[in-house]
Amino acid sequence: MKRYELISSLAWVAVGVLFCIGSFRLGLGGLGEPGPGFFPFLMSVCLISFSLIHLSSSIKKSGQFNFDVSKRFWPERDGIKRILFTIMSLSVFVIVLNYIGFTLTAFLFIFFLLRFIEPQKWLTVFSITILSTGLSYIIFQLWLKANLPAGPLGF
Amino acid sequence: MNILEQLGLGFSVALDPINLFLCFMGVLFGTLVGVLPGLGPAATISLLLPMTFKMNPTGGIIMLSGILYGAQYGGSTTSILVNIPGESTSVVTCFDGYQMACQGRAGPALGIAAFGSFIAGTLGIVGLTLVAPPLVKLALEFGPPEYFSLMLLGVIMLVSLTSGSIVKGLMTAAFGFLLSSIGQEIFTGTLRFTFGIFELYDGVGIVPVVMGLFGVSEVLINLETKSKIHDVFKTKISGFLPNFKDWMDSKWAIARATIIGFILGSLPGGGMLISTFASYAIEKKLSKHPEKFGKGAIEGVAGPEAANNAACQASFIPLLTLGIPPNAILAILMGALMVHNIIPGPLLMEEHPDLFWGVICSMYLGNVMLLVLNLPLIPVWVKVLKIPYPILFPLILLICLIGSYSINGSLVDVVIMILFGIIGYLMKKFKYEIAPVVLAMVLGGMMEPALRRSLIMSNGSFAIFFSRPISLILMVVMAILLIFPSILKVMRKYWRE
Repeated sequence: MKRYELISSLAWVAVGVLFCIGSFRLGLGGLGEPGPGFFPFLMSVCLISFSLIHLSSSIKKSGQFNFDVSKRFWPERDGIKRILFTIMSLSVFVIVLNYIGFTLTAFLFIFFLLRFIEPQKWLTVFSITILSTGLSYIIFQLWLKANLPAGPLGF
Repeated sequence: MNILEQLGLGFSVALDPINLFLCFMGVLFGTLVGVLPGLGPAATISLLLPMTFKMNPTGGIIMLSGILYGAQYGGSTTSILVNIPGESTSVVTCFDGYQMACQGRAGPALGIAAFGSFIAGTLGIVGLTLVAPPLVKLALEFGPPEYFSLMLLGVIMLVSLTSGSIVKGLMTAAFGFLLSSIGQEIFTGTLRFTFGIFELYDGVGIVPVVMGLFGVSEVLINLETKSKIHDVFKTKISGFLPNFKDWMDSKWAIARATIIGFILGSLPGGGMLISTFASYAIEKKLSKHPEKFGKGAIEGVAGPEAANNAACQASFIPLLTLGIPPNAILAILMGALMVHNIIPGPLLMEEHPDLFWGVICSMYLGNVMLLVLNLPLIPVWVKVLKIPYPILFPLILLICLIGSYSINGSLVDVVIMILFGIIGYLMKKFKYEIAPVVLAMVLGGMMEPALRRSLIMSNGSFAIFFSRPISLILMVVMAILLIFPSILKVMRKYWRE
């Protein structure tokens, strides 16, 4: 489990370094007259130092972490598939929303997740999909006027 | 205005039919999202936020705050009946509440949770009513150094109280501060870390980040394992009224929890979650029969449920008097006020007394509604719980998608939400706390100007934070919070040897 602490603290160091370089470019200013880069610089230095402290302490004492060793760290193959498919459908939602409009996108989104993540019966899939898409259209578009994008057919 | 006139004004606003209706809608929605695991008050408030833009601000805030304290009531129902906390603030309620239900005492458990919540919630508002005016006077003396120290204390407190590892908590807090610096900087108008994306000029929105970190990441975690069908209690639940012995067992627990919740809730970084754990720990320690805890002790339900409601009401204190949101949900409420050009802070009580007292008085009414509403509706909530997760999660995701899109009508916010969903998932896997990121991000936007103004005032000397009395006290508390755990560790080692 030590490995995961090392990987994650190195990732945080990298985030800190990126922000650090960025704030340097923005201009730090003096202590009496802090510039735009001052605060992010201070915080990225904090992030880097805390990460390094965590890194060194996790190298020193092994096996003292609050990970549940009895469980695998990453989920089973099927679990990973479910997670990746869900993230993928969220991304597709963003890509197609402006082209085919909210109602159709939501319809396809709900349909896909219901049928392919943990497959439900066809009747359940269709009734829930139609019900949720219709209700969200009525509530958010007609009632709350959320200005969701319309597709080529006008909804 | 004396206190009676203030309350009179408040109730006249709160009893207005429209406001009364909005309060009712708020607590009803709140209880519903409290019952549904994976859909929190933050997501719901964000969803209904655009609706309040066209409303009168008082009515809008009355409804949104109703969602917040309504969710505290709803969360306990699922903890007791299914052993699944509807909200993070009801995790502790599972320990004894579910055990009580297994022993056929689901009714009294639900009953004491509702009554305890009502008593503590109402006392919390009484406290809010009494504490707010003097605190406003004190807040007017606050300069940038005091504000900075107070907010830093809030973040440090959250880190030291919640996370297993303080260093890991500090890392995520620093990350939150970095996120808050994205966007246009207020002193010179310089664009920071925007990469030419127009939508980032105003900074990263708190709503998509919260929905991603809490909503989406939770769904991803749940998808790791195939869903099980939960065992919802099939026996008939009857007799919500706790008997005399139940009351005797839990009266002091409720009283203590109210005080703990009120104190922890009124501090930035304290809040509802911590107060439930604190209350449970204290009740167990003070109890004459600690072995009963975890096996259906009614104090273990009454205490934490009372604590989260008292804390929830108290968390309005820093927002309404100092203009500091103590957590992400109140930060969203603050955003709702700002849309109407109302700046929360010491001047709010004087400039908008109708809003200030109207919202506070609506909470008294809302708590009564919740008590009346909650118990008879439990059979309905149980039905809601029977929706299997594979059907529920697409709906939760759809609500998050609509919510993050509709705030600004921008796809960039949706992308941010998805990204933070993935970040949140990884943070949970690698055991990093999420709450400090959000609080630091919320407070960062105010802390940076406070820090820079302080440094300008002092010509670049950090001594300004230690030479002013209020700020010095806050800094000392902070040092104690950071050093205390290590002292404890050393002492334990010493004793063992």
